[in-house]
Amino acid sequence: MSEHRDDDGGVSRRDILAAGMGAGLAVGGISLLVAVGGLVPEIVVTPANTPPQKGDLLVFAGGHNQGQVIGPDDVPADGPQVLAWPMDPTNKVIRNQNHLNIILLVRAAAQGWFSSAHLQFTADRIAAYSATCTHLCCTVSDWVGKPFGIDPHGYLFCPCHKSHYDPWDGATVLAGPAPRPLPTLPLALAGDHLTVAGGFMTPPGCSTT
Amino acid sequence: MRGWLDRRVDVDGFRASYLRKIFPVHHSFFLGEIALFAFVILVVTGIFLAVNYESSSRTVQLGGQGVPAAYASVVRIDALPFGRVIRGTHHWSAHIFIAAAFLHLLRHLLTGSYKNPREINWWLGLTLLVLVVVTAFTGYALPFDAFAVVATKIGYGIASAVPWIGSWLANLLFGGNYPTPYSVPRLYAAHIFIMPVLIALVLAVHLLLIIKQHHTQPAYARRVAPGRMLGVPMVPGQALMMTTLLFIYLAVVVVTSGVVDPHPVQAFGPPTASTPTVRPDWYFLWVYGILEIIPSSWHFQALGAGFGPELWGGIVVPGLLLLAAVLLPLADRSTRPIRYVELPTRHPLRTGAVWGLVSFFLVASAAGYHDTLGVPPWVFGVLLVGVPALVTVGVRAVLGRATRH
Repeated sequence: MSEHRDDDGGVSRRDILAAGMGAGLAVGGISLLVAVGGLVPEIVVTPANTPPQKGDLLVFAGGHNQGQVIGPDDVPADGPQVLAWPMDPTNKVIRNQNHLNIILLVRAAAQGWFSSAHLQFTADRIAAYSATCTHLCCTVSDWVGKPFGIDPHGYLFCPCHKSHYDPWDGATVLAGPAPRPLPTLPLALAGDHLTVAGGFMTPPGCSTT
Repeated sequence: MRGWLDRRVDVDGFRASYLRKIFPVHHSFFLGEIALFAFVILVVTGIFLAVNYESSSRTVQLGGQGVPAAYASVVRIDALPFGRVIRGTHHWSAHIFIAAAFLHLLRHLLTGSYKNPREINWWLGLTLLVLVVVTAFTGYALPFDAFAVVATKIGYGIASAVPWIGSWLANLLFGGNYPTPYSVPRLYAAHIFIMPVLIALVLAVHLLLIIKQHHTQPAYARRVAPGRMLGVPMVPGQALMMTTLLFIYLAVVVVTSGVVDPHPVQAFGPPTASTPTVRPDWYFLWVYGILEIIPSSWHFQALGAGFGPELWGGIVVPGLLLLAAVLLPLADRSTRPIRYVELPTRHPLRTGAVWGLVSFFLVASAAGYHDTLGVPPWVFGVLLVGVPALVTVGVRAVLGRATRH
């Protein structure tokens, strides 16, 4: 009836069972972490989700001429912005399988609208930025023309939480909660098409980490 | 038959332990039951929706237009016999679930029934509220229309604002950089399986604890029959009232679903490159308002992580409110178990603070309309602190004077 005890200072059966269960739980816990970590999908790089590359053409992301190559005259002066996807010029793959690739194009009515620091990234009075709002990743698809009737130039506007960006000065934040400017995409002119002159100058997206 | 069953499973024992449980009768005690009905109706209608829904964002043809399969399947559900009404019943039941659960919480807050010995059920209730709101959010994404995609993207942005692990966490929850082909199946699994199972489990413990611990007794019970449990038994008295209430609930929700379109997917259309103007449902409006008025300058880098406006509005403020709610029962040092509800008028500070909290939610929700109202965001920032403080102090003063008389 009495409980078995090993009084010689040895290891009891209960100790061994407890250690075994502890080891089992530890292995199980680590395995679970690995399994959960595996739920983050691995991104397989394809031409359609590669970020914009130097030499890429730009195509309309929406509207009646969706998918057509954009030339300088397709972008209206003094807004609103045109939303675009980059397109690989050799195999004509539109890189729209990565939503961080969405680009906006704005055109100034005069060269002098741009700040001198930003002028070098523009082509034919057109500037390009990531269209992904740095606040919470909505597409910056709205335009405010002549806000408050004071400034003659329009502004970029995100309809989600009302962040305003200044397209004529590197898309710096004018108002609203966005923490950073929209990343600049350097542009160039190739014949009668706009092309990408280099990748986004800062990482696009809304993640602060 | 009865004897046969009783010899095997002791029906009388079950009856004595559960079916004779005493329910106090008071109209404010039915809020939790309404939430329970909503959950049951959500599961039943959800099964109908789940078998007809396609959890994929692959492109299919719908009326000569390439649209996501999930979107097309919701359009198809609307065209099924009773499809629209069943989807509407699901949609409006979700709203009622959250509203009833929140009012249920306020009732317990106002009457002090979160105190000893019912702290555990208060915490379980808070867990349920969080689970329910998260479930509603995962449901947002499923129709995969223009509104759904943007609303879910904001959730992705908030998740990725968590310092250090944000990107990893958001990619885990949303299946990569939302929207990806993994996103809809993942949110669908969360919405129809993971979250409802968690809700059902916590709900079961919540209800068992109520049977074990008994309700707090309404104040009138102290006058009518001091020291005794007052109320009607689960069966038949309470069951009859519950059935009546369930039928009223069903009548209201089904009629509402017939009259008011539940989230009109075709009006929003399939997702496009541009952002439709979206405002979240009323229960997220306060978070939305806070997100809008926190300025861009509230942003800093520390220890290799960014701390930005979306973190304060989307995670820190709701998290602090939740933390305060969790810690609340611990603030009560009384060791004497609560038996009767505490009248709100007898607890001026607590009642004032509850109304202060309600006013905070209302002001924060109104802040989402600051541009429509033509009010600068900082004004709402001041109101957000000032109004709840004034309401708390004001209600306390008025009740305090009334109590002294």
